[in-house]
Amino acid sequence: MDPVDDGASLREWTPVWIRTGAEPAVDWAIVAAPFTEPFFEQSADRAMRHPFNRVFARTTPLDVLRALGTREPALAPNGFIFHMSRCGSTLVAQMLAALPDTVVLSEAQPLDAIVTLHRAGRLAGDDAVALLRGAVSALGRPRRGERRLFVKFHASHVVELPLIARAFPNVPWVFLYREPRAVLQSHAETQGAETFPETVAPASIGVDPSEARNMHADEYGARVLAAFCRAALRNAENGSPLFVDYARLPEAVLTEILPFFGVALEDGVADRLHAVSRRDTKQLGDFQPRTHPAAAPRIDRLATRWLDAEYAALGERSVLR
Amino acid sequence: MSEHGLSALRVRVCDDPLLALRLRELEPATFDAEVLRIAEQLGYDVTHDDLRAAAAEAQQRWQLRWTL
Repeated sequence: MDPVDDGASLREWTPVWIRTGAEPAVDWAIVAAPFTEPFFEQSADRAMRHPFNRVFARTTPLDVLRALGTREPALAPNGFIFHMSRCGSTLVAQMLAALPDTVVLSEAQPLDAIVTLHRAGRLAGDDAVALLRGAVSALGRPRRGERRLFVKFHASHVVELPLIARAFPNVPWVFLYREPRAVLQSHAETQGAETFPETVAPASIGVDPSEARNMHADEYGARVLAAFCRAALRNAENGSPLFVDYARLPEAVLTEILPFFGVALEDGVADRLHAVSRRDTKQLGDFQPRTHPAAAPRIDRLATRWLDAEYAALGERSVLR
Repeated sequence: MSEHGLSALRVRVCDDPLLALRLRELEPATFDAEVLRIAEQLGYDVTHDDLRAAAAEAQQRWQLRWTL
């Protein structure tokens, strides 16, 4: 492991991964291209394929990030994206990434690792705050004269909004959500890790651990998604977030989200964003808004029991602005 | 590996951002040959086997990142 320094020698380097083993450590690489892939990890993986990063990649203790977190970042975040999961957040991130002079960190593993260590009780709140600041500063450092930075968090991170708001007070945030049957149907087809008990502990969503062991994955997932929605609603009392329903995408990026973040569109940029919105953001091919008109009866029951009230409350908040 | 070998070159790369950027800008296809040439110019005793072993170790470490 490289020795701890004040981070000055890491000016050109990017923290691509935080190892969360017994002795947490940060892997650093020099990333030559913008983060244009749908997820940060894909950009990191691309960088790690270059022989330079295979031979010269660096590993440091977490303390280096902590030191970076005490300094003024070169680029402060302009906005955060939180989401319910399976609700168009990747599309929004890709459209933001198409803006000129903009860095978008999409579900960056180093941020998830810090949150995970904090959740596990391995990082005190102050430490996690300092590390989040350092990680965002190092990840979002302008490499090509960028002047805007947006961070899209993992779905489960909305539960950690108080911690994130402590690290970055006054950063405006958006919460994306979607009609619950469509979200549940998507998870029933391919369950996302954000609904695993290993990601969101049963106790944190009011489920007894022994009950969770015997619970069907669909139901656990519904209760986790409801907890995400409740966390967004609860934290809306602090700050003045924007709530956006998937049904209003992609147009809401131009008509609601960008104005909310204070971004004025330059000539020709709207066309570029529309072109991105027509692409499927996770697979090649044209983007087609997905609907699930006939949810399975089981999905319908779960949505009715666990999510409809939250969805309605989000809708009310959405209209309030 | 000599004490003035790849480990020493890595320390130099850590301390010298311009050298790090210069090496990062090398084309993958000619990376090994260029690094060996630059290392020799700078007085480091680096071999092709050193580079190959370091790359293989790093690749494995990256592939196993979820477990480390």
